[in-house]
Amino acid sequence: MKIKQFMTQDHKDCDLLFAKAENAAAKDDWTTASQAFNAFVQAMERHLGIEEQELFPAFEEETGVKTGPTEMMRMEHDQMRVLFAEMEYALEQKNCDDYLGIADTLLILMQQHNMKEEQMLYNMMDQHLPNDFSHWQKKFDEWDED
Amino acid sequence: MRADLSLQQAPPFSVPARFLVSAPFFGLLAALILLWYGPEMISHRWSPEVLAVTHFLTLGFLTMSMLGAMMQLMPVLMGMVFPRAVLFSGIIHTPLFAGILCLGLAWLMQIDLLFIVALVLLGFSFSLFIVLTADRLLRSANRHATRSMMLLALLALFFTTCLGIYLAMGHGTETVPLARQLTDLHLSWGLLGWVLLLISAVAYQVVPMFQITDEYPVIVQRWLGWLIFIALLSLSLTYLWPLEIVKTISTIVLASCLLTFALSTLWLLHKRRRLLADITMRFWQLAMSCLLLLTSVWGIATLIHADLPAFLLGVLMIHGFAMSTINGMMYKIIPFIIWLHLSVHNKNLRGRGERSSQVNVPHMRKIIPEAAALWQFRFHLLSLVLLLLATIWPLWFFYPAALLFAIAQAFLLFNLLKSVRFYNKKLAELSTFI
Repeated sequence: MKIKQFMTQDHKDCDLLFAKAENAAAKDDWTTASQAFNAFVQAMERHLGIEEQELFPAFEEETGVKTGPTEMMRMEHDQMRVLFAEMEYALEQKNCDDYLGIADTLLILMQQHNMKEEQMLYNMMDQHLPNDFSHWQKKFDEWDED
Repeated sequence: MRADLSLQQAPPFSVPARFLVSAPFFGLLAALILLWYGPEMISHRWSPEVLAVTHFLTLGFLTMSMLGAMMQLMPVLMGMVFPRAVLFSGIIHTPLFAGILCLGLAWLMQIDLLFIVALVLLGFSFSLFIVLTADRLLRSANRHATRSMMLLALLALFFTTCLGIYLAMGHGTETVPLARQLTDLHLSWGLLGWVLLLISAVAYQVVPMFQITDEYPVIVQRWLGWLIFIALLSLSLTYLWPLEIVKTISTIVLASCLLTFALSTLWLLHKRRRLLADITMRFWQLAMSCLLLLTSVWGIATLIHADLPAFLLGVLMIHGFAMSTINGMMYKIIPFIIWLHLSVHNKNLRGRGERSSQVNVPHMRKIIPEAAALWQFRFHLLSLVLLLLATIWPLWFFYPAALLFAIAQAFLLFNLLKSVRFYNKKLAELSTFI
């Protein structure tokens, strides 16, 4: 399995958690929404963290490119984190309209970000980094243990 | 510099906005012409008023917004950047806007010279767009099916333009005969080539992403566009060599492709993980239902050799399918890019330590409220139903249909203009600190 397949699957897993939280919030089921939202943010932070601390540095070291696509991806990660915080606040306030509006905004930001990674960056990574699935699986497992 | 990175690929707000806001302006203009001229104008297919309205919709609404959406989406979808985007979009938009107006007025006022002016303006605008965009697409490293579909769509736009210019010369000059028999080919390349190919190319990416559905089947993504394109080419060849069997097979292939696209999209939406039925999803469902209805009605009428009301399929294709899809997409594109631009401006200020000077960046539903979009959707839907009825019983339904259509377009224009005003206001608040 290549980085592209592995990370793309993780994007899809995160999407499902996002949808679960949004579905619950739309029904005013704030307990389920809160649980699903926490699981979503946790999965996202793991994904973003592995990229920022493992994949991106490895790619930057291998290619010598530090101000290109990885820097842009990091910036979009920060934009997403701002929205996570706003969603959490809306969740605490049980404000359905705000939650759904911020979630809508995050969904587009997140998906266009994922698309850039899946169609461009991961392909570049697969060309430059070891195609060793177990290596990256281990990183995910280590992250879970931490 | 770092804070500007996420905008490096997104063109300035004015680039897509000028195209997207122009679209409902032409939609409204078309509706007002319907109201002004009344049901007599649809007594035959070639009336100048019908041709003016059709082109205000296909060029003014559809093509105008499709070019704007491409300029916004292609950097993200294809990883390609248009150089000097503001200048480029201005050079494309201004002659396009003026050319569409001239073309409509040429028919309405019967001024031959205006046909020539229109075809020069439109020919210039389209050639420049096609050449520059195709060049960028060919150089893109992206290998998604969307890339080849977009190239096919551009080629279809090229054929539509060439046929359109030839037909316009027939209207505007005495040296070129009016080749009415090519009209069906012109509209087939325009609606089934350019419009359908581009919408499906974008759908392959945005439906799974924004509604959290499965991907379209690989076979659909890879082959549908090619099949449509080859069927259109074969159909074109039958104008040179009239082989009935080729014409029949091409028509069956085209109908099957429309059916496949409509059914697979409706199926994906039905099985979506995101249960929330947002406004864009409703527009997608409406658009695909119209495509399904269009193919069924067309197929059944052909099989039983029945005559259909002259404008039924046109209303289903242009208003029901294409305008619905684009209307729905506008409610995602405009609020998101406003949010994105304001967020980055805010981040710039934060990066400079001017936290107190940031403005509150509202989420998408505060930029265009869901209720406003939902009401506009209802007027759009109602106008579609009435327009369909008007194609069958024009004396009863023509005026209510035209009136509802005008309201739906005015509402869309209002929603978009309000969001642009909101953006300018927030930007002015920000610029007082910069």
